[in-house]
Amino acid sequence: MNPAYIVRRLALFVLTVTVVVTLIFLLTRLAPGDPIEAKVLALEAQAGNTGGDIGPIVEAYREKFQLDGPLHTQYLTYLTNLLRGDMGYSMSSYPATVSDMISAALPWTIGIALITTVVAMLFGSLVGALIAWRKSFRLVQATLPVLMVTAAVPFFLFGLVLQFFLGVHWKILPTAFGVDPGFLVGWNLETLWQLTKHAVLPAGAVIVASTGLWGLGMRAMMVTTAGEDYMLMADSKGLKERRIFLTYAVRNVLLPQTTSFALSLASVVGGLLLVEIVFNYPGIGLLLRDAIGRSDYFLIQGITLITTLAIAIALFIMDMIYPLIDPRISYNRS
Amino acid sequence: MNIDQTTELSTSADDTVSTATAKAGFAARSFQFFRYNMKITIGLFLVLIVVAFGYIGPLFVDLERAEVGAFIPPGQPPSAENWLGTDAQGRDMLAWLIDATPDSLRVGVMAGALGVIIGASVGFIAGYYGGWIDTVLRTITDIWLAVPGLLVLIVLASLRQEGMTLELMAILIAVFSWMGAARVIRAQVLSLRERQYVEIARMSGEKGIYIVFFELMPNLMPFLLAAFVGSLIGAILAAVGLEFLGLGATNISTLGNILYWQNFYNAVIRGMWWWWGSPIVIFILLFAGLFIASIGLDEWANPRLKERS
Repeated sequence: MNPAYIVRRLALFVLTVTVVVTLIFLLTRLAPGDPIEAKVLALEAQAGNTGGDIGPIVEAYREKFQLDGPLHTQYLTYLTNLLRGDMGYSMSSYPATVSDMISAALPWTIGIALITTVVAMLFGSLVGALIAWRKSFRLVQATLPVLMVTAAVPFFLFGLVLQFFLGVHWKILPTAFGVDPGFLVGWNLETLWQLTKHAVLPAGAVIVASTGLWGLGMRAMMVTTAGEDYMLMADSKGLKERRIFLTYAVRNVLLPQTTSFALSLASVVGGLLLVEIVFNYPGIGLLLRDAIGRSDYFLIQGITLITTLAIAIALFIMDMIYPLIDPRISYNRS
Repeated sequence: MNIDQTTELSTSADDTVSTATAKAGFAARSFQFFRYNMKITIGLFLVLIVVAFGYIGPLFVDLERAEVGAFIPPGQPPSAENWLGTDAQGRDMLAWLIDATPDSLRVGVMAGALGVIIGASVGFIAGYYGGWIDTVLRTITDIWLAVPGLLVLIVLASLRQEGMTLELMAILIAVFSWMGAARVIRAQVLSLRERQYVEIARMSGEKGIYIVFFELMPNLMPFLLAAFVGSLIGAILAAVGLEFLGLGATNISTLGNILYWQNFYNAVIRGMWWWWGSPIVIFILLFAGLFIASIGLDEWANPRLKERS
């Protein structure tokens, strides 16, 4: 692999993460209103007191969270803490730390994200390719308008529809949570069944919607490829239909497909978080909703940072894999 | 010499084309355009249904029916009195939806337009001037693309204690939805600026700004339109996401707020299908319409994408 390429990608990765970290730091520090003051005032009101002198309490908390120094020292402490994986304490569930809460929620989200991506990618690409292939079944080709609708509508709207029909109306699948309430998770088949049962609806919602995205992308690329000279050549050589389809058309299209997926990754994750809220699925999205509901700023920031980091890492890995699939990339523009 | 000849050829070719189309008249030409770009036509039609629903609806339905407690008992399924039923607080769904649609569209149009203006400017400058300016702008665009906009928006929105306004939300969304436009426009400008007519304009001493607006702009119109629809979709999606989380402008009615409240009152579990079903129908019409139109615009801008039949 071209070292210049790796260095450039690595620089981009570091820059992206730095920008988000700095952005969140500045936003939270420069925004009008002080979260600690607001929190203390809210707690005071909850206890039935108003108008007390909260100055000393706020000062004490500021010192504890190191929010009392000048901006650049605050930024440095913030960065060093982050590097140690310390994102502070949750304001709403003290003494739980933000990292603990996120690590508890993360596996649920990553699980759904991986499953849905693989299924939607395989299925969507296949459908999209078949729609563009003129010799495929009419029935498959007729699904194009359906794909257009599913690709356009936000994921969580499908969540609502699936939840109602399969969960509430026909009562086939559970409508909420990661496992049945009160169920003890362990390494056994029963757990696996529980996990699967509860994941079907949220995963289904994402798959339905993102299949449309993959399918349309694939179709558009296939249509362009169909006009290429090498396709005509393959056809006139009398190659088998299947071979032209798979090794001449589909293979050439897979790479741009991966690129377009990388570009939409951030919005796919955003959509997934909203789906979790619909299904009360105990992942990052639900954690985020609760954090917003309880004005838990540290938790909100932590979730944003981790999610950004996850996306940046995924994009970086993808960038590292590209040149292995397609040697042209690392040789161009070096 | 050679250049002169080709330009003369191309201008004469242009002349014949323009006289031919001028004869056809504006109405006939528009009709031809919509006939040959079915996707744009269908998409626009679907979007127009939603626009008409939101802007003509108030002439037929009294919007006061959408106030909390307007109907008792609340939470009724569709009936002759309430065509789309009422919510858990006694609001008439039909009136509420009509009230909410224009504001949802407005957020999208404001944010989408702003996003395209930012994106097109970045793309123009990067593509036209090239060199280190291009490198810097492209890197910024790439970084921004990897930032999950919805999440940063969430942080921003959650920090605002005074609550959100429609305009502020549009500006914030635009800041995170200009990258697509920037990439497309940059790529186009890169290829356009090498064309001979741009070369000639430059040789005859025209200023950069003049060339951008009078030589490049007209050729970029299809791309700009496609980019606008693209960022319009992104903007409405982002707005709906924020509102669904309860971070939108909560004091006014938008489609996303309706979805927030149905989630808040567990409408799905309680079997109140009319509460979430009717906004979904509007969303499907709107998003599908915009999406199909954007595919159509892409094909119009870049005919290579069109299927040969």
